[in-house]
Amino acid sequence: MLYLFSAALFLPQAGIQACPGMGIIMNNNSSNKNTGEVLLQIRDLSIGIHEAGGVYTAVDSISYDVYAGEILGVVGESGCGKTVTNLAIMGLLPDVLFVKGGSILYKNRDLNAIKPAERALLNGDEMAMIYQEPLTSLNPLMKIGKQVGEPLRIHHKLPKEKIRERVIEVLGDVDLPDPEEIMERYPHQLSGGQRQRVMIAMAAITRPRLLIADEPTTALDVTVQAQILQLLKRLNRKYRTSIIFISHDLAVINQICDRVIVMYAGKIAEVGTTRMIMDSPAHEYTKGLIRSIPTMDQKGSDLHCIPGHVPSTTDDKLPCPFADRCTIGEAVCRKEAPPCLEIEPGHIVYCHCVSGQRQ
Amino acid sequence: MSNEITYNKEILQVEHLTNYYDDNSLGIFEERKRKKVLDDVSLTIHNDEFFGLVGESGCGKSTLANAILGLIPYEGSIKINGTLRTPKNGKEFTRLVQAVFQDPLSALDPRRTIGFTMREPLRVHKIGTAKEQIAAVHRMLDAVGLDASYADRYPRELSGGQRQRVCIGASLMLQPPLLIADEAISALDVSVGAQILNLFNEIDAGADFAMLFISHNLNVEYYFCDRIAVMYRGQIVEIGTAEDIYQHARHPYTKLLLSAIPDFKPPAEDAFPHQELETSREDVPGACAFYHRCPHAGPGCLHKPEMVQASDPEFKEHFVRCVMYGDTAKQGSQPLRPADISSQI
Repeated sequence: MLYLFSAALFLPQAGIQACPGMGIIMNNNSSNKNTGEVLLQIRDLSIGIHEAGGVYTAVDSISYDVYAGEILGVVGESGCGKTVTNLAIMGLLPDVLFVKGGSILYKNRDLNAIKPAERALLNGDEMAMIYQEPLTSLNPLMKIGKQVGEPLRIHHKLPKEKIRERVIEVLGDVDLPDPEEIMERYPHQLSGGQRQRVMIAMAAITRPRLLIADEPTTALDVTVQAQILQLLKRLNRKYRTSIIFISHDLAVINQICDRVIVMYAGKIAEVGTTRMIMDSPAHEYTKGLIRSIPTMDQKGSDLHCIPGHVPSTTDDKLPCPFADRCTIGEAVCRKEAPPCLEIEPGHIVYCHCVSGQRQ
Repeated sequence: MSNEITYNKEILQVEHLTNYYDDNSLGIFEERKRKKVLDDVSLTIHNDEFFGLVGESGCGKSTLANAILGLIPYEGSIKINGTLRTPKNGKEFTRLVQAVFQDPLSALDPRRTIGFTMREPLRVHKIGTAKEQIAAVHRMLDAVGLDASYADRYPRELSGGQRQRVCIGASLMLQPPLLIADEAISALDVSVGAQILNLFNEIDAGADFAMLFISHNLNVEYYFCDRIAVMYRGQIVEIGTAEDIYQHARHPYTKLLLSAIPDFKPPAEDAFPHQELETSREDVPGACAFYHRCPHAGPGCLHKPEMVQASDPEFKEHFVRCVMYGDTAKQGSQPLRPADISSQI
């Protein structure tokens, strides 16, 4: 009953307020190499936070789609709301955070409104998540084999032998040598890279439709990171699992993602395919972010940097949160929220100062 | 930051530095073993030089920094500005070397104002009157891009980048000839990290100090440093100018590291070339540190190789710890240098 009511409440609202450009990308599938089937729709999602005795906005009315079979990168600096948005998708928001409005539609169901029992059926089966630090996510007292098989035991209630078979298969899939031996080990006996592989195996064993990877390689060495990225890409191709890949590192995003969302201070700044974002960024923030990363051909020259600092959640934000640090900003940026402009099919930017003429 | 190397006098001389830790994972009746964290590390940093140290986690980068700062026991010798570090001259050394660490919030006292924290080094060393000390703090706040009003604030009121600026300011109060930056920008946001790198460059233009810049981010090292040392399992495996390391890498481990850096080029579909640069085999005690992962390893690698000049005479400052280079390679000892090894990067 609650679910029906909420869906009725949120759906028409989402229809009215959705950005004009969103409709276009939803219909324009030709530029996307995926089939264009929309797996997840996020509409006007706002998330509030109780902090320092007040209520503030952590995520401010954002909308985007996740297509089936794509790897979607979410990039932004600390406090931009990238992790919080994805915790909301999983229904795992900590107590201080709450969904203020908007909807998260998965298979025409609003995930904000489903019952805990329905949520329990989804998480770990159709949706899974991997975190930055695998050691804190694994149970130190449970053998790897049992942990990896747990989602199958809970969701699919398979017999023991079947589970064992699947565990061995999935541990092989994530390139762990000698799966039968690894199954008998405990997390502390593995290296950081191996633990992250185990986490991925655990998430992939039910062949979920959606995998959320929250900075999965940040804690790893650069050589191990390259291997894990390759592994995620292979799983995505093999099982057509959609992956939302959260990272603060644009170079990593560039290696693995099909499309990218750039977030800043709780709002979306720019959305586009990876090549659009990397080769022809439109938003001043994206441009600054790319230029402030030292690359090999920049040696000797001064590093470009964005003046000022990232606003914290408790700061008063301007209608365009980037206006204070923007070099091309105008007076209008401080008065009105930036419009949603589609400058080419599939490339959306939220900015007053970008003209939509570029092809 | 020029390509020409004209060395001033040596600021830091580290010779045969070795550090152990006790392996506690053994049973109670087994003999205690000591594991080497630093294995005979020698390096020299010259005046006004930015020296980079890269390597994977656990390779001993921070242990080396802590040894130079006198925070842990070690074997070998450390000299700064010609003064040998002994157990008794710790206080004197705080004027010679200072450090900036990864997390500025845990490095600052939450109950003290910024001004108090920054004045502390001057107070400890009894430099100047109270008035002069306060004036010096204000000047330093200005130099690191903040202003005098920050002296009365507390660390919690500042953003991450501002806190790191305070840490840098505090570390430079005594004008040490050597500054150690241990992952100083790793915890900061990308745009803020860029500001801090520019700040280091800015301060460097106005003051004479050398820097040991420790990072796991190779792009930052290349951008920022004059010379770079690559560490693996407590040993320096390759050392040279930033160009030597990046354009003419010799050691297989350096090549592996370089191949794994994600860049902004469009990635080739499912092609990760670095995998050909790595293999896996049984670890042999006493062998070359990289033996267990090296794709070129042969019987000649079962002894720890010496540091040798990289074969090309034009790279005078380029040394590598690998049997494929130097005199032994010319004598035709195992293994032979694969013809394509320099074309892989």
